[in-house]
Amino acid sequence: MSAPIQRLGNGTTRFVGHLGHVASFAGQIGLALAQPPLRPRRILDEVYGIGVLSVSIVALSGLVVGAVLGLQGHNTLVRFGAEDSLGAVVGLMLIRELGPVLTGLLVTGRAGSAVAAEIGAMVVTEQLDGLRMMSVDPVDFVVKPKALAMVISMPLLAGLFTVTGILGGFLIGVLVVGGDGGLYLTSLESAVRFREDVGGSLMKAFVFGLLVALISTWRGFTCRPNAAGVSAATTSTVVIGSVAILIFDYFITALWRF
Amino acid sequence: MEPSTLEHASQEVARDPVHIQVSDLYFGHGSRSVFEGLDAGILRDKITVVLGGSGAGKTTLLRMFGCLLQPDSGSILVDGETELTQLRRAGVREYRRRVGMMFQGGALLDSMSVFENAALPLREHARLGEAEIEREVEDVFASVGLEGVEGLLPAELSGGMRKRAALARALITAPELLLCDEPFSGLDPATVRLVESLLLDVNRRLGVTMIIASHHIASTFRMADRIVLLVEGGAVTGTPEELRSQQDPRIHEFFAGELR
Amino acid sequence: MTQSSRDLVVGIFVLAGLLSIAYLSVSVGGASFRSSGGLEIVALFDEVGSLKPRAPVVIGGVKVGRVKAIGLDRDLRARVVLDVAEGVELPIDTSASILTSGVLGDQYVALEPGAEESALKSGDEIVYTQGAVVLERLIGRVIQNLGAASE
Repeated sequence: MSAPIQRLGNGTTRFVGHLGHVASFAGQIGLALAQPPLRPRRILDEVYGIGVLSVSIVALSGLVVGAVLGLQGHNTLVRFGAEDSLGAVVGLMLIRELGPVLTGLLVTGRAGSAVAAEIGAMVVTEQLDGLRMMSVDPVDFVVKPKALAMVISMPLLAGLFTVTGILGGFLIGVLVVGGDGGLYLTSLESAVRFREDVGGSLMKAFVFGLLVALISTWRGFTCRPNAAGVSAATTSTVVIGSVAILIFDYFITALWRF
Repeated sequence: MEPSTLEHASQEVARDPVHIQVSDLYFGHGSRSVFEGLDAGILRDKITVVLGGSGAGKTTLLRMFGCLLQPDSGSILVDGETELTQLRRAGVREYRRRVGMMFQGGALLDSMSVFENAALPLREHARLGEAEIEREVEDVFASVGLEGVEGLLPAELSGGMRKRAALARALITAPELLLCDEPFSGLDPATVRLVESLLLDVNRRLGVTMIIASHHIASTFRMADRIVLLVEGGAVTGTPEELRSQQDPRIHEFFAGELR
Repeated sequence: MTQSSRDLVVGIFVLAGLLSIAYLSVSVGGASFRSSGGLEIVALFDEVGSLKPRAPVVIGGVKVGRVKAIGLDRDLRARVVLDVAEGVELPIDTSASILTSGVLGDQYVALEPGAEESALKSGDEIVYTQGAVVLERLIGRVIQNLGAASE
């Protein structure tokens, strides 16, 4: 009878323990950030691996999602005689929600898992121990550049997703359903406000970048030193990262008031 | 002259033949106990091979010498003054400056060339110009017989060359203590001989205390000045001849099992 | 890929990302770098309808400012504070009306400049105002008129 309750208590204790561990790991990264060297070369290389290599999937997805929004939006707006507001609808949906959230999920899947796997592989092959023996802090040398690159890349990628999405909606709105391109853009521009909409969008992308940076590096760093451990680190990064993004999305949406 | 005689005398006192003294070490992994009251002494500037079957704790002991792992209880005293089990972060960093470690798989950073790998300790800790770093790396590469491959990634080298690159990286800071974890694993007999002679050469030339974890009996008997044989949670220490002529049945059992 | 070409690609990526964000912020979102200098004038209305803060203030269809705040004055009339851009000279007999953009669109404040010589200063009040048309009342009036006409 008490076994499920026991398990609940056990699970809660473990969860809180994990949270504490993540917090202290985040603290270590913060400390490493505060100290020289900055390692700009490594940061640049990581921005390439995390940001640049995600551009194709982000841009393509953005274009397609924007096109779908254009199509669905048009079908719905037509019923109210408001087809001219397509630009506003597509733009607002992308800027406020789909841009940062979908970018966050895509980047978690592509780059977050890659980061976890890379760091996990370094644990297995004792490369991190090798660094420790040379008195080089693995958090400073390996984790810091990757985390920073993720935080830098996420808002940039979200911006690209949103813009290609608006383009996708535009192409559908003009080429497929034969609307007016000018009206699309004016309705877009009059509906979108910088502080509420774009500001909130950037804040979300930044927060999501922080989340994925922390989760992916932490899972990689703490993975069990074998092949199964690396695999577990990779999949749990995607799962935990995705759920965290969705939960934080709700809270930012609710709290971002102007 | 008085001062230099005093200096000389204190130097002699400091050169205690025992580099590391392990006392009453206890370590357990889950339900399994690895060390139970282990005692061993590592002599300075000598090659000590830590022998033992799989799971006996060779790598574990080596990692403790590198402060990568802490025993449950016991003492590891270095130079008669540094207690490894009590060191804080700054102390560990200070200790590691004088230690080099050669890991089983090499543990070279796979995203960097072997040149960059060997140069890393210098780049991080020494204030050297680019030209000096290049010279140091070339020197150490030459001393391990590795030339012309500086620009390659570790994955592009053969197993033997990777071991040599790992050795080069461990030696570039001129350590007093060199830890080698299974340096002969995964190598063909010819390359094993090569690595053996390399390690012997390094020891004779540079006067570095070497602790080698291995289960390669033949190499051990060719190289070791001392052997620390891990058996039943403890250790039996002695020269190869002493161990071979020991009456202890456990030792006989080990050698009989391993020697063809 | 060589080091320098990799650096170039990263640079292009960062540039493209920043340009996207800039486009969304400035062109689409209307962020501006001007501080809100300019005029702050008050207009009292009987009815503000669904006018919201940050709604545009226009003259002849051209946006010249924003609604800063909406509240009630001592006489319980709706009091709207308008933020008008610098350099816009409004005669003291300018009138303000609350209009709706399109049939179902957002409401905004339209200013029609008067003919007087002297201009409004910050803190001045617009005297001539026309409150918002509330759709329900309009429909109610139409129904009334139809009812009256059919008699």
